[in-house]
Amino acid sequence: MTTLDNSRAHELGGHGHHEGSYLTPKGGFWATVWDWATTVDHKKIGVMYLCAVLFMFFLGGMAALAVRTELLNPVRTEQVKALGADGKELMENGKPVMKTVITGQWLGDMAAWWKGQELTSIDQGNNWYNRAFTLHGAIMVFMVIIPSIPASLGNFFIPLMLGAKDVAFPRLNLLSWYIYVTGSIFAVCSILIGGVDTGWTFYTPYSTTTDADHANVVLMVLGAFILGFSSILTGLNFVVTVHKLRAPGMGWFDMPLFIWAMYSTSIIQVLATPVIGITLLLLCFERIFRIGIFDPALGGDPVLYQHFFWFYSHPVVYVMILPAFGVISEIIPVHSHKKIFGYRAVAFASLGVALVSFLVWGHHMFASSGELGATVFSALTFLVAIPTAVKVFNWIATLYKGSIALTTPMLYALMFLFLFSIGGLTGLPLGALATDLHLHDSYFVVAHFHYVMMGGTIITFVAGLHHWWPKMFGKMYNQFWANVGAWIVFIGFNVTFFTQFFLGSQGMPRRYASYVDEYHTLHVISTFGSYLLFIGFMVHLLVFIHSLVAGRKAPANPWGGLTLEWEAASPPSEHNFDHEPIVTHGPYDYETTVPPHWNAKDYPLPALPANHH
Amino acid sequence: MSTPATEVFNELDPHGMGSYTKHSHHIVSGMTLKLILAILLAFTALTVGAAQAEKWVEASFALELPRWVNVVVAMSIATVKATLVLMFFMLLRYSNPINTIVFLFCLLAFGLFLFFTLLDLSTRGEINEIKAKQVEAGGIGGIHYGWGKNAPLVDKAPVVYWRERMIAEIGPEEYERRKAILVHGHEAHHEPTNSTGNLSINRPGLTAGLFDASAPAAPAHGHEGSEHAPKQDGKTEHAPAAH
Amino acid sequence: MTTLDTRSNPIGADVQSGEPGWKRYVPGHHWRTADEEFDACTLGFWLFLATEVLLFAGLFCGYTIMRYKHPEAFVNGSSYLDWRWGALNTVVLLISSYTMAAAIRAFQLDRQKAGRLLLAITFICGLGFLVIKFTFEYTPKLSGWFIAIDPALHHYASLVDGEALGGLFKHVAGYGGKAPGQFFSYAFSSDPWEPLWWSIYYCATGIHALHVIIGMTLIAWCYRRAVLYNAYGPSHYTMVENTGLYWHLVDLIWIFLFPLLYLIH
Repeated sequence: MTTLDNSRAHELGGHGHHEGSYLTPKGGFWATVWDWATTVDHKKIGVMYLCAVLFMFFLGGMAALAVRTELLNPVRTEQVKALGADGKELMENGKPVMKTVITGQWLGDMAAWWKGQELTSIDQGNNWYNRAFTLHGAIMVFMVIIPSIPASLGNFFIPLMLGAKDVAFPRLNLLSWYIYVTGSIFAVCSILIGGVDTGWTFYTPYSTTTDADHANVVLMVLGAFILGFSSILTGLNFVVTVHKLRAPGMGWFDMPLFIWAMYSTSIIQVLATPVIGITLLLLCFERIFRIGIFDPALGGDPVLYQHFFWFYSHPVVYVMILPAFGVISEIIPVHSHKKIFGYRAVAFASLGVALVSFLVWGHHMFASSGELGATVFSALTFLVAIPTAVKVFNWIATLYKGSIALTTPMLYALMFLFLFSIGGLTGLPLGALATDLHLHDSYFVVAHFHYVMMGGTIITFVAGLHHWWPKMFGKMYNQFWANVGAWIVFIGFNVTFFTQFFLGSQGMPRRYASYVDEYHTLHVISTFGSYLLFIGFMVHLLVFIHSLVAGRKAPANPWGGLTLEWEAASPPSEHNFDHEPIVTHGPYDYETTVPPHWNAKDYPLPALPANHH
Repeated sequence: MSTPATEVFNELDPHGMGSYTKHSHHIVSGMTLKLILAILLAFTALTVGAAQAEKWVEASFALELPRWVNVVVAMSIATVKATLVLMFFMLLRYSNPINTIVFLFCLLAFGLFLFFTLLDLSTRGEINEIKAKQVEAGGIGGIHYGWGKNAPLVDKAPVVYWRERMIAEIGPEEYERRKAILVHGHEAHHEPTNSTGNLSINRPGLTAGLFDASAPAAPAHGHEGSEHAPKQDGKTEHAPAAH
Repeated sequence: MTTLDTRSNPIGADVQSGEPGWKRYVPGHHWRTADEEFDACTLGFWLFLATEVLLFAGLFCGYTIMRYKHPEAFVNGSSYLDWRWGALNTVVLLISSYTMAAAIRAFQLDRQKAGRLLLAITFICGLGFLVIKFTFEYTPKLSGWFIAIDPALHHYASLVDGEALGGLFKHVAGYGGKAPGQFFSYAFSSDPWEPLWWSIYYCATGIHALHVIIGMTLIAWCYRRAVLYNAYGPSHYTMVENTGLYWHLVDLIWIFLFPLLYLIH
């Protein structure tokens, strides 16, 4: 990789002088706060997104732990022998008097204590359970997974990887962050005034009839509506950035695969999100004005809502997973120092996933849609397997004969391959109409989408964070403890969710606060797995805090990556590069290129004819 | 690298987009704009005229045109108009082709959305009759009509509820008088039909007689002047015709 | 603000220099040329327009499904609308689209006065559209109150039972109440599903009217910048171009809404 020499850089309006890192504070505390709050620098906005997303991840995680804890000792009514005032069993006609008690309302009792009220019926306990899992789902989907990789890592690294100074519309980028925060505040307000019990999908008529005298649902729905705008603006910005701001010499097939994945993601965001906008708007009208479009009593159709909802929310599943594919496509070649296998196949597979995503939304509705629709959607659903399998095979082929370094990001990438394969393969029985009718709305579905969403996206988000952390903050972290955290997360994850495949296939329905005793053992195992998961993430948090406080300074290119972001300093300067870079080699040409900032004598190139196949 | 970038490399135009960039500053001639406006206005007249002509044909020859005729004619004209606006007012003809591609992809997404939703919802009732037969106007739980806590809770179709209320208030004769005036005021008002509203498929026993209970005996009598009055007799046969 | 502030375009800060604003414009620091920035802005705006189209796609899809389920209700409901108002509004919007396109052309040719005048006409057309929509369509249908000059009023002369604002508005007994969903209270309707028709009608036209208002705001903003700073000229007219695209989209949606709502039979 070469750079323009100074004189030419000046002609191009480049900044030939060295600058401080983007993290250098501007003046005092308040000046720095103001600087960050009004910044249009994509790196700062990326870091702000990262903080916001991690905070929401913590909230959503707490809700998940609450759900799992409730299931440790589920809500149920029991017949017990009534005791008199003297502590003896009450007897009537020679038989003990029985009375009904409600046990296991851990969440309900917590909520009642919070509100200063007594729990009066089993419904209230169940009700709080419903609120907790809705909270978990809505936060994790709308506020964590959708913006996680695109808005934080994407914002930070897309311009860097393209060799640009910023995204195409920097002020729009900042606006998008503020919209995200506004939407999140709406959702949090909704939670604070009592939460929502509709499930994150807001299906009618749950969402139009429950909590009739409260504004909770409207606030939560409006929150999701507002978050949609943030998603649209980010996607739009990235599409234009990829089209218009690639560094000189970077053609479409010289882009890193992360960019391809983000480009596909952004297309989905732009094309699918507006539909959820109008859907949620109509839902608000339906709830506030009862306009009847989703209400059979007035001639509407609740299944129409489901079509509207899933037309967005299925493509958005790929908004969640495609960036993860991109991150894996970066980590695997860098940490095995080998050219990615089948670059174009992986790139086109990203676009293929984006296209297929618009054809398969009906597979969320096999139980509610008509037979013809369900059959067609079931058939189309299997198309998804093609591009995703292409990617997985290419990653594995890349690993083959690579010099693999088991760094934390690489460890996570390998875990991803394992978890995502399980998630993907368990999707097949769910996509097949006949088996789905047995598994529909059971814990099998819960386990499946956690393997994909969490084992796919969140694990990869953490992997990407470890991969780019030195670049983002200029500090190394303790690899040993990071690896320990990774293993705890991996084990905790599998203990939590693998058990749920058994639960689901045995018939445990999702979203229930209670269950029959036969499921108890598996539920207990799953709950302790979730605690393990929590410990794992806490280890990572401590490792990151330690790194920020006491980490050793990171070199510009700690892993020997070839993409343009490793060309910049760690952390990058305000304008990213001292000179506008010119691309002269592909992003994964490990066999022919010495990585930037590496010494050629430390890096013997294997590209000799004898080694070259 | 597929191409040696450094050899023929223009720093100001690294991806050879120059030709498009020039295009984006195209100035359309004033004559073209005026011409397009004239065509658009003419097509507006045409679409109104086509709708009137369809009505005239139906009235004059006692025909019932299939419903798709109205939709297809109107949408075809609207598509032509929209294409003209897109090409000349929105400059797609002159600007970077990527803009056209963006728009076409958006239409593709729209098409998929419409197609699959319609595919499912339009076949659901036919295949699974059990699901289709349960819908009744007004529902079963009652509806609060109006705003606020004092809104009356009514368990019948809004149309029926308000009709009965009005008749109770002003009496059937006055109701008929007002209806004649109000309905006559409309542009070619259509006669009431016994549409059950359920996918237009004949479903006897659902809401048949919905109006018999409350409607005055001869709703047609205020409409002698209406060009559709002769259709009264055959109305129940007409309802399920279109699809 | 930060050193990375992209508002490197200080139009308005330096009015005294005598240079028109469009000549003083400097592209953002991360762009190589002004043309690339313009091209990117146009692409970005087209992507935004795609999201707008897909927003309305939900409404069109809802319309299609509901019309498929309740064709009679739609035929009946449509007959309450007067196609003449719809056609007039179509003409108004088409003319405003023309004036918008002509305004961009005027700025491209540095005809500042013509450009401003055309922008003003576009704005007035938008206003006219809203006045027709609200005064002659929404208000009578919702409340039964007609403005005295409404030509439809003479049909209902014998039912007028109230006046307001010194005879400016007249109330026709029984005409109002054609409201969506639970607010429906019209007593003379003929189809059990008519409230649903009104829901679709108000959602579609209401959200469209909201877009008209947003478009008019953008036009007013462009006009202001044109008057104060001479902000648009041959080499820089990005904002007025994109406002135009938005306005044409509003027109485009109406081109489809008009026959779908007014011309059903």
